[in-house]
Formats: sequence, structure tokens, C-alpha cells
Amino acid sequence: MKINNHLFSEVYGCYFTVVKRILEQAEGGLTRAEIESMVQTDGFYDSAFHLLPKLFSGEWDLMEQRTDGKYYSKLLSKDLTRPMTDLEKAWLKALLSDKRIQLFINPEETASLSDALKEVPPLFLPSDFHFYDSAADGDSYEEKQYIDNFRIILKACENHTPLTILYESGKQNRTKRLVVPYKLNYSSRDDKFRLLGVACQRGGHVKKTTLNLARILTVELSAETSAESYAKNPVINSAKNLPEASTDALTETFTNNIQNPFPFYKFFRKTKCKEPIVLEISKERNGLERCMLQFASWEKQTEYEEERDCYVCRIYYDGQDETELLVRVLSFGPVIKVLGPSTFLAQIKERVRKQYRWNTYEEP
Amino acid sequence: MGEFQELIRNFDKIRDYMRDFYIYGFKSRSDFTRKSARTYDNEKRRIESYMGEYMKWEYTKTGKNLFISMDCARIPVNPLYAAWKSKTFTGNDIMLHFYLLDLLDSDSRLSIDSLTDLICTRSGQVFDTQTVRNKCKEYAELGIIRAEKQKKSLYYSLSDNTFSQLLQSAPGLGEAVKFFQGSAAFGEIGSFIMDNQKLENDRFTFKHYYAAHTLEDGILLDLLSAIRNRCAIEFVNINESGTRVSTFDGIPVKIFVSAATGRRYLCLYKTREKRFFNYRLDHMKEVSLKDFCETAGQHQADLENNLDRVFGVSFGGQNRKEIICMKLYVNEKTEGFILERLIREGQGGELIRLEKNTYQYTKEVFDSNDMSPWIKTFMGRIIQLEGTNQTVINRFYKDIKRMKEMYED
Repeated sequence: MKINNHLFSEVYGCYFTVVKRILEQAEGGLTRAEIESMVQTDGFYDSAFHLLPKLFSGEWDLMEQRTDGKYYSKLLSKDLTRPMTDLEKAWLKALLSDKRIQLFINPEETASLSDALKEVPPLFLPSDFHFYDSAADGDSYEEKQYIDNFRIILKACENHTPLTILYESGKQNRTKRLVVPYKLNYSSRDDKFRLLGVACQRGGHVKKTTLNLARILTVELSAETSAESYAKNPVINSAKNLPEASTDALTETFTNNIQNPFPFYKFFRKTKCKEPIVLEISKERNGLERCMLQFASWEKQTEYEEERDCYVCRIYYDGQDETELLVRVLSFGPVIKVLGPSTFLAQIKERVRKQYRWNTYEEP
Repeated sequence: MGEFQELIRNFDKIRDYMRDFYIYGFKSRSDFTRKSARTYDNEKRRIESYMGEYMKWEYTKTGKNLFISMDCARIPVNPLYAAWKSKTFTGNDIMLHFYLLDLLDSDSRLSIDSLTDLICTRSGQVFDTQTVRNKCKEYAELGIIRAEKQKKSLYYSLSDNTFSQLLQSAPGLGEAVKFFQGSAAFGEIGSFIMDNQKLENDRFTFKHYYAAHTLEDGILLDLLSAIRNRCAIEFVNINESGTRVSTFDGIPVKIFVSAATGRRYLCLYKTREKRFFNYRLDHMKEVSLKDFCETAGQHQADLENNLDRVFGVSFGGQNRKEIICMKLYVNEKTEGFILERLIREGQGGELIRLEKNTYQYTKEVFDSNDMSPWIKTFMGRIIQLEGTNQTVINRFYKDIKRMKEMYED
């Protein structure tokens, strides 16, 4: 079967998605303001300017305005979810060959999906790609214990149910921890999952924590999951007693999670470094292009300095990425010069000094 | 002069601008010389609209710089997927889309005449049969509706293989889509499914995520199609400085991906040169499929046999076999993580302990120059670097000397 390869089609478009949501909710009538608000939320920034006149004027004859001033859908169906396209099915089928699918779906379910999608070929195969620099020690997605742990954690992330985790550190120390799970983080470079959460420490102190899933030996839902015990949970209580975060962060959390207002915002709000890393990039060895791609996943600003004929790039980073950034900057050699901040610069200088001494046979 | 439209007909139009705004982020209006200033203004306005809060600006000496800025570790869904959701359409397209979904179901079938009548009645608009037939044909090709022939006529119904039915077979599929839209190829397709199914990624964040990938997925789709069908291809390639446009041909074999930097390459067997080359996907345009190639399977097997000697993406020059040997200082008590990194990132190179706190890493590759950036990440502990390609070794020591001078107080 040949798949229609049109990735760029209006059926996937933002306007179709927005109009679908409006029509599905317009059975009982929507005011103009309500529709405008939906377009603002789900559309592009300027969509209201382009989309609304066509919808309200009847140029797209999908709604009608009645005497109460509200707009009603002219359609009878309440569910306008379109069937999946073959391209979407082919993408799903490709996922069935990915080793990580086992974390979500068991082999019987995979067989059932495979049968349901038998008419489409997979969009791609694992053998189509060669990840030449991914880590050799990625997580073991086939291990039963790993899969079981993953599923418990994923489920717990839904309601942020506290977990009791037996964890083995890099130095083989085993500790039992009570953790309120926030989200699962995946790194394609490391091929690893990490649990982001809030851990309860001795004395009721709480702390943001990142745990490698591969180092989690056992995990179980904490006994303290009932509403009453949850309220008494030292993690939750000490978290709630932390100094208040900004109003924006507070609103964001409560908007996203009205049912369970665990104050994750206090732990996972953006913790940008005080000063960005400032790099001077020369035009040598295609340095600019390489540098822009290398640091593309960080928030950054770049500017051309005409007088010195070079580029200056500021990278805003999370403190825990500092070592990784240091190593990445070193990989460019003299193509990049670190201008600041002073602590970062000092580390670069120290490594260069040590290396120079090795190569000039001085004692480092 | 036409009125400004937020949506576009041609994806390539937005692809280059979006990439420049995201990857570089330092170009001002005067730097965009490909097209007219008015084209720049229109594309800038569109991208500002698609990217919303991720679009930033600053004033510099060369003018106002606009750029896309985001911390990829914090985004639940790649904002650049918006580019794939910006295709323009006509009033008939959107009306027929919703009336077809409203009137058709998966159980009963309608002839084109009945369907047209029902659409006209429900909408109060006049659609001719041919317009409805064309839309049905298009949707049947997409897989949204089913067309079945009965005697001489086609009858239409809605395809029944919906996502919710699949969810009944595998309840974890929804979470899987949330994950793979950020971690598998063609993540935008996962995002299309999420939009349609009203799913939101509230479970996963992604580190080392390279958002600009998505802009090359149209090219990737063509390349995978050629690989699958064992076809030769021809494509337009633009060099890194953007100054030279060339046309190349060959047999596509595999896609090379860097998990660390996000770059993606096509590994192409060039029949005239009788060897493999890698080309960056973001420098490719206009891929066209040519004839079936009987030897494609053999080239794939040859590549597999040689992959362990390609450290990055280079298949080397004349030598085809280079050895690099790095002696390192590693404090065994406190720096076990360095040994772990050598194993994790060393692509199967041999690591042996020479004496207390001294280790030797050795690797045979096609091109040791490919290893230079990685070797420099161990700066500060490389006791000695040796290799068969003296140019690479000399450059390493020269670089260290230059850096020493660069950072001298």
C-alpha cells in the first residue's frame, strides 16, 4: 500500500483544529467573546484577525447566529474527530518497532495494534537510522523490573502520587526515599529516562530531585495516598511552607492542576544562571554554524561584532548543565573563546593550563 | 498587492526563514538577502504569529534582530511544529471537511449524489457533485474516508480505524504518543494526532532535544521512501556558506543522526566515485526519486560492515584506515566517571589501564579528524596523543598552544 506522503496538509492545520473545537462546543451556542477566546488560546498569535471574520460572516458556512446573539454549529455531530490518516497510522506502526514502546504497551497489545494497522507499512524502521554518537550505556528497556518501575512512575506522575523508591547511587549506596513525582525526562543523547520530583529528606526538608530510572531498584506507591494522610505528608506540608513563588508561577500551577495543587512551581520554575556564558566565536573552521547547532537546544542570543569580525553568543543555562557546557565548549578548541562568567572562564583556563603542562612535560 | 495571509501554500518558503531565526538568531532585516525586503517582512510576520512567546527581539548595532529562543528542556511540544500546521486552504476545503465528517460514518455508505445533496441541505450552500467527488477522492487517498465500488458507482463511508479504537486495544498508546512526539522521527505527526485527539503532553520533558529537526522532515520522508523502494535519487545541495548550489545523485542507504548535536545526514553511495558520502539534511532540497537500483541491498550490507569505523560522518580520504591513541590521566579514586564516559562515548574503542591513574584509549577509524572535537573534551588530562594521521595530531597540539595563548592572563 502506498502512503500519501503529504506531511504538509490543511487537515493537520491549526485552523482546522481550532474550528473543530469551536464547532464541538457550539451545540449549545457560544458568544462571540467565547469564540474569540478559543481562537486566542488554540490558534496562532494572529489567527483571530484572519479566521474570525470568515467564521462570523458565514464565508465558511459552518455556524449560524440566532436571536440570542450566540453562534450555533450547523452540524449535528458533537464529535468531529477525524479518522486517522494513513500517514498517522504509518507513524504509529513505526513506533511498534521501537524498543521503548514496551514501556507503554505489552507484547499482546503490540500484536493487536500491529494487526489493526496491518494495511499500512511502517513509516520508518529502526534500521533506517544510525545514531553514531549515542551513549553505549542507555537504559535497559527490555528488563521486566525496569518496565514495571517505569509504568508505576508514569501512572504516579498523573496525580503526583507519592512514591517510595529504593535507589542505588553511582557509588552503589542504597537509600529509600519518599518522592512526589513531577515528570519523566528523556535524553536522546544519553538514551536515559530520569524522574524529576520532590524528595522528602530527614527532618521533613524537601528538595528537588532527579533520579535515573535505571538506578531505581524498586518503586511502590506510598502508603500515604489517601486524602487525609496525603494532607499530613511531610513532603507536602514542608513544600507548602516554603517561601512563596512569584504570582505568575503560582497561577500557572493552579491553572494546570486545580485538583492537586502540589507546589511544583517552587521547585521546577526556571532557574536560569545569574549570568549567561558568553562566547566569542571566530569564523574559522565553520565555527559559527557548528556552534549554533551545538548549542541550539539552549536559550541563547547571538550578535555580530563588526569591529572584531566575530560573533558573540550568550547562552542561558540551568546550573546543572554547567559541566556539560564546559565540555562542549572545549570540544571547539580555539574556535571559541570564553569571555565569561568568571567562574566558568576559570574552569576553562584551568583545563587549558593543565593540558598545556602535560604537553610541555611540566608537572600539572 | 495582495492582502497578507497568515497561512502558506509552500512549506519551503517558511523552512529557511524559520531555521535562520531559530538556529542563528542574529540576523537583522538587511542580512536576509535571498528575497525582497517585503518577502522578509511577510515571513517575519508569519513566524512571529506561529511562534508567539518564543519570538524575541533585541536592538543591536546592525539593527533590530529577531530570533526564536527557547529552552528545549522545558517545552512539552516542539513549537516549530507550527510550521507544518500552516497550510492554506479554501472556504470549500474547510466546509467540506466538516460536513463530510458530520454526514459520513463508518457503518453506512453514501453515493456521491446522495452525499452532495445532504451537504447542500445541511449547509445551505450549493456544492456541485464534482467538487464533492474531488474532495472525497483526496480524503480517500489520505485514508480519512473509504471509497468502495458497487456495480459502477463509488460509495463513501468514514474510515473506522480511529485512534480511540486503537486505545481500546492498547490503553498505553496515548502516553506513548505524548512521549514519541518528542523522541522519535517525524514528531510532528505525533503532534497532529495529539491535536486531533485533544491530548496534551503533561508527562514528559526532553533533554538534548533539537527542535529544528522538524524542518527537514519533508526531505527525510522523500529519502526514506527512496531507501525503502531501493531507488536512486537526485537532489539539490547547498554548501555550508550558502554560496554554491550543486546537484548530486546516488543511492541513499541510511540516515546518520547525531544524538549529541542534532545534525542529521543522508548516507549516499555515489556510483561514479564508488564510495559513501554523507550530506546534511538541512542543506538538501528538491529530492527526486529515480530508477530502481538492484545493488542497493549490497550497498546497505557494505555500509553495515563498515559502520564501526565511522566515528562521526566521515568515510575519510585516501588512507581509509587511521588509528588514534590517547593516553589519559584519570584519578581512579575520584574520577571513575571519566572512565565511564570513555566507555559510553568511545564507540567501542579499546580502553586499557597502563598503570595507576593512567589509561590508554585506542580506536581505528576511517578519519581520525572526525574524533578531534571529542578528544578535546578530555582537555586537561591528555598525557599524550598519537595517531597515523599526523596532521590531526599536529593540529591538536597547535590548538592547545593557541588556547594557552588565548587565555593567558
